[in-house]
Amino acid sequence: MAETEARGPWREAWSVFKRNYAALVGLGILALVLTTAIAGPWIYPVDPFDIVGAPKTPPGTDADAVLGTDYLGRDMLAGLVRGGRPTLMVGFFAAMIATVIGITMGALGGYYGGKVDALLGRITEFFQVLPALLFAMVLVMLFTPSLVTVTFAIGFVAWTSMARLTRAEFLRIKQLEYVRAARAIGSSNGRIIWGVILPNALPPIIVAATLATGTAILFEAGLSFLGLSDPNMMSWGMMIGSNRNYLREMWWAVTFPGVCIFLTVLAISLVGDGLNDAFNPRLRTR
Amino acid sequence: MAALLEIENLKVEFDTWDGRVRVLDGVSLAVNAGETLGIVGESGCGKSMTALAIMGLVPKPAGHVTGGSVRFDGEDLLKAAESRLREVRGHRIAMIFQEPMTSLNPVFTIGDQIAETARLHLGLTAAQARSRTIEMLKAVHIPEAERRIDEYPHQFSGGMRQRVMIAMALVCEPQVLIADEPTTALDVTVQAQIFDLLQELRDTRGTAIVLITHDMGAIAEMADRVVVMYAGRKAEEGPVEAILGQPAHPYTRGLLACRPQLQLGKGAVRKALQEIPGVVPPLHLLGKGCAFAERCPHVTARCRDERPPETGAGTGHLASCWLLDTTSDAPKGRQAA
Amino acid sequence: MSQPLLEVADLRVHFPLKKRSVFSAPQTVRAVDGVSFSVRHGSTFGIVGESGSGKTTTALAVMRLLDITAGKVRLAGEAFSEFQGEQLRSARHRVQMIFQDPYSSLNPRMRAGAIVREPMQRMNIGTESERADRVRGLFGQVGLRPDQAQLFPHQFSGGQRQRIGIARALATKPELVVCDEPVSALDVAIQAQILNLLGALQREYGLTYLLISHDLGVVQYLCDEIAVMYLGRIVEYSTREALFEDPLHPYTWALLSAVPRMGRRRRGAPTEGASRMRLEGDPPSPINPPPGCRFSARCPFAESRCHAEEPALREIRTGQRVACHLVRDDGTAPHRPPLL
Repeated sequence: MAETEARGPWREAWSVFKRNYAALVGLGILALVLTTAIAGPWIYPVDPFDIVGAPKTPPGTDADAVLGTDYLGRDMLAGLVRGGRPTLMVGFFAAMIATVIGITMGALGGYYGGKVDALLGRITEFFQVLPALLFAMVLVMLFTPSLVTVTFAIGFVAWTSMARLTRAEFLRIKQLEYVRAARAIGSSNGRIIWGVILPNALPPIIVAATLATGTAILFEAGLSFLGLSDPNMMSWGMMIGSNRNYLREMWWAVTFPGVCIFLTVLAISLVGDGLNDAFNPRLRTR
Repeated sequence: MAALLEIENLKVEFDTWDGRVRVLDGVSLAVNAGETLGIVGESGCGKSMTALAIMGLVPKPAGHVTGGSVRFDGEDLLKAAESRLREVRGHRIAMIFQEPMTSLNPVFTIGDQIAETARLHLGLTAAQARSRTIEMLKAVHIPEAERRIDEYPHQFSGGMRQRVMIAMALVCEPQVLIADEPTTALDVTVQAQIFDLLQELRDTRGTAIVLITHDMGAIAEMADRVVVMYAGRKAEEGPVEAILGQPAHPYTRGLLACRPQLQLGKGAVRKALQEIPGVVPPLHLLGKGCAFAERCPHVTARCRDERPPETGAGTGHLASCWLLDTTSDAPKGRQAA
Repeated sequence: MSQPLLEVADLRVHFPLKKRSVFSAPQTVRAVDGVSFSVRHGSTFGIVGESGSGKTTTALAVMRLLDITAGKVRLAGEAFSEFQGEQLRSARHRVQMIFQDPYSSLNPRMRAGAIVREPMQRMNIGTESERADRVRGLFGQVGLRPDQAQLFPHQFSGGQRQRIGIARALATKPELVVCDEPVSALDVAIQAQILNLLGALQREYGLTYLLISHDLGVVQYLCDEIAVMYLGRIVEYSTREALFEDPLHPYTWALLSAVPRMGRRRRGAPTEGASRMRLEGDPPSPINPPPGCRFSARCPFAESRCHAEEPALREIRTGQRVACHLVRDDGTAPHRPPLL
């Protein structure tokens, strides 16, 4: 082979990803949302809890509140700009908690098998059959609703699918000969689990974690809608929840945050799909 | 006499990320009734693609048949409608594959799967199809056929599953049976059983067999005529005695010398194996000359620049190589092997 | 040559099988059931057999990659099978393995150079620069260019990947190299390259190979001594010359006559039919193997004694042992078909 340029598996995946039009659009939207969430408060420094005008001002009528005000007269645009950060943070950290728990449970069960697997499998099943939203509500209500408790609550109910996925990957990869080769040079179990098998199991886990971020954002919106969110943090879900009683008279108060959530989750899904294609060797060789 | 199945100048191209690649480049071959044609070559040489093209199963949308003809009993299958192809497939031309486990549907009994083919193509009733199935299972020497017809694929061993596949292929009495590496996944003693069975079917039923393999030993035992393929092209073709006895193409000689052959009896000597250096070039990087030029020990400037034509005379022994001695009847390598 | 490098004595590897129901009796797979052999320094010992014969299990047990149920594995006189914990870990560099499938035996996330260097790192062999030198040297020895060390496995062809696997196995300068079907996953035209490489490396560095293969041609080409396994047992144990000149066990006959060979045509001369020996059916399962000789169920010559009494491996002549009731002590085997 004349080829001497080293092209790692990750770079190869990127070269596939960047041919995927939909995924690039998703990545673009996501970048926009992230930029707004991070830099927005400096660009548009209006406190979303401040009352800036008459309640229920429709969009386009007040120059101080371009997108109108909510039922208390708070600026909608300020809410949208500030609301992205807690929404994304909850989504991201909840997905991370779910991934860490899921990988640990799945990796240990899949690698050791036998009694360890049976025990961890039972625990996973237990969490799987719990009604997730109800369980998360109970968790949030047990402790006071705050960004941290909401994040942990969502993380605790969302890890089961990740555990099953990780376990399946471990079961597949642990039979491959390079794992046997690692054992033949005296590598420890820990080194094989985390250093050999996990890196090779990562691609589908990354895809699942990406999609789990979207799910977690929807979860957060659901909890906020039910009033179970940090009262000191304006989030998109909270905006929908607090204005829900006035839905018929002020369409904008729920539509704008709803569209934000929709676009963010859609963008994450598109990126997740793109990653899936990029990591899937069957599609790669066509 | 027109051959039963005749492929002429077949060209198949595939869309890949490296552009369009010609996976079959002007392949011609013919099979007669009651004859076993062996197609031999390394993976990627196009031998399986040839089989798929005969069956009209070139994978879509990446694959395209861009030229040539596949004539079966005088009819060009490449021009036939899909409905006609479905009729021919399984009924007149049948195929068995390398992996008998994945070729059978695990949720149906083997009886159901064989009977379905019989009902579809022969229009038999359920009862007729069942008795026909039992008859076929007996023909492929599956013991206790009446009982085993109601068992599922996982209850059969690898060799027995391949027998089931053969029974399924034969249920409509096809005129051509294409066997794509039928014994590669099987143990050597079981392989011998399957070869015996194929031989018996050919002799008793006159079925033409196209045996696709990478094993020159299998060719030696089974084939009447041989086609050697390399990088989507035909390197050499001829009667099996000629191919094994006087191989003309350097690639054929390489294939014959590169595997340790079992020697029995006194005086077995360890001869150093001859290597074919390098690997098959990626198809999109093939030059305009001979496809084997880069690996050929006798390569000349002409080999790299011009594609050698197929030469040979009379005996049906043909080879595509510039170094052949064209003065004699049969193609013969100028260099001693 | 006093002491063999590897001695395997009465090796047994049994796996418990999952019970079908709470009430059924526990079943055991006797994958390897009393296997003994020894391998001389610098020689190649072959284990040949079909699927289910236990040849790969034997190799993995010798490598200590599987738990041994009973028996001993001695390496240069030391009780390798008794090693535990750190002692085992630090002794692993003495036995290394070349795997069957070049596509699954290399970690796709590591560069070729790192794959070859890793065994030395894990076992703390040499300094960083010594390891780098050795990796370069190994790449040259197995016929790869040193600049290819930075590539990833998927950038190599199957034959090249097997060369990387060979370099990895040799990195720790092992005393014993176990080759598990080293060429069976490779294209025919590539097999010669790898077989010649294995032979050249052995001549140059005095390596000792334990070769596992189902391919009698490969076994004949590489091995000095050969054990034929059937259902977890050695049925014939012989030097290369004797095995292919004068095979004694009916299973060996069947194996040899089943291999397709050049120069033997199925059609044509009717006398050739007589030289073929065909086995009915498939090897039975190693779960609860039949009593008596394990081959008796498929042996066309089996007598009542064969079904009742398990034959022991006995020496017929120097360098040739067989486990069969039908072979007489003087080495004549009345049933043997002409094999040529």
